[in-house]
Amino acid sequence: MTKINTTGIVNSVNTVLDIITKLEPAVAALPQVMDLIAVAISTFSSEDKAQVEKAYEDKMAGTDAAHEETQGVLEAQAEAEPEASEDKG
Amino acid sequence: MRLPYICTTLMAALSLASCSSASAFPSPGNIPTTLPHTTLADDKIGIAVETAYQAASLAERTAVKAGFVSPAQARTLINLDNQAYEAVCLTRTAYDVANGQDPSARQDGCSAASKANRYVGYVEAARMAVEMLKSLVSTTKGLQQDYLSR
Repeated sequence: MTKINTTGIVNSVNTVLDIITKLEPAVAALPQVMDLIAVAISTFSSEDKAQVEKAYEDKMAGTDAAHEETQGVLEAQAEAEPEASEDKG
Repeated sequence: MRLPYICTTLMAALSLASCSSASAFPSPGNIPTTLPHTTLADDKIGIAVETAYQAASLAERTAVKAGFVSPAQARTLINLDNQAYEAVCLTRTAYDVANGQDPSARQDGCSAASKANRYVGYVEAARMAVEMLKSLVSTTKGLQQDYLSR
């Protein structure tokens, strides 16, 4: 029988849920944040903007790769025999 | 000279605020105005949404590899994962529209439908993505808790 360290996995998923929960108010507050940014906007150089845009594009590529990998893992599991998953643990 | 620029920025921010309370698919008249080119908030929120998806995606894969997910549950997760990814794509489209760029020019895995939907404001799209990701992670977490309680 395979032994799995479940505590670590559950903790990591809880951490992910916490991050997403904390992201929600940040998105909701974006219009108000925009007001503050408008005041400080002159401090941003076009180079900074280019760097952040590049980081965003890199993130998009990472997301696409993660989505493709996850879909592959899930599809393989979806096609697996039900007994095979029940045997684990 | 800075005042008109700040006013323009504030108007864009107010426009976004009005979109945030609109329905999921606002009418074309509610399309957000172009964001100031130097604003970084939209990029950073976009990066946060992408990172959140990647984290949720990792949680799904980990759950499968640990044996928490049955084949039937995997099929449910496939749909939830695709919906979350499409919501992330919608955020990209809204970002492109707000920044005066053509979403269809982007080379990525997003569907043509998500790139064609230009009527969702940036804040609303990001909020939709967060909601979808919360649902996805909650489901994954629930599967793990069910497994551990057996």
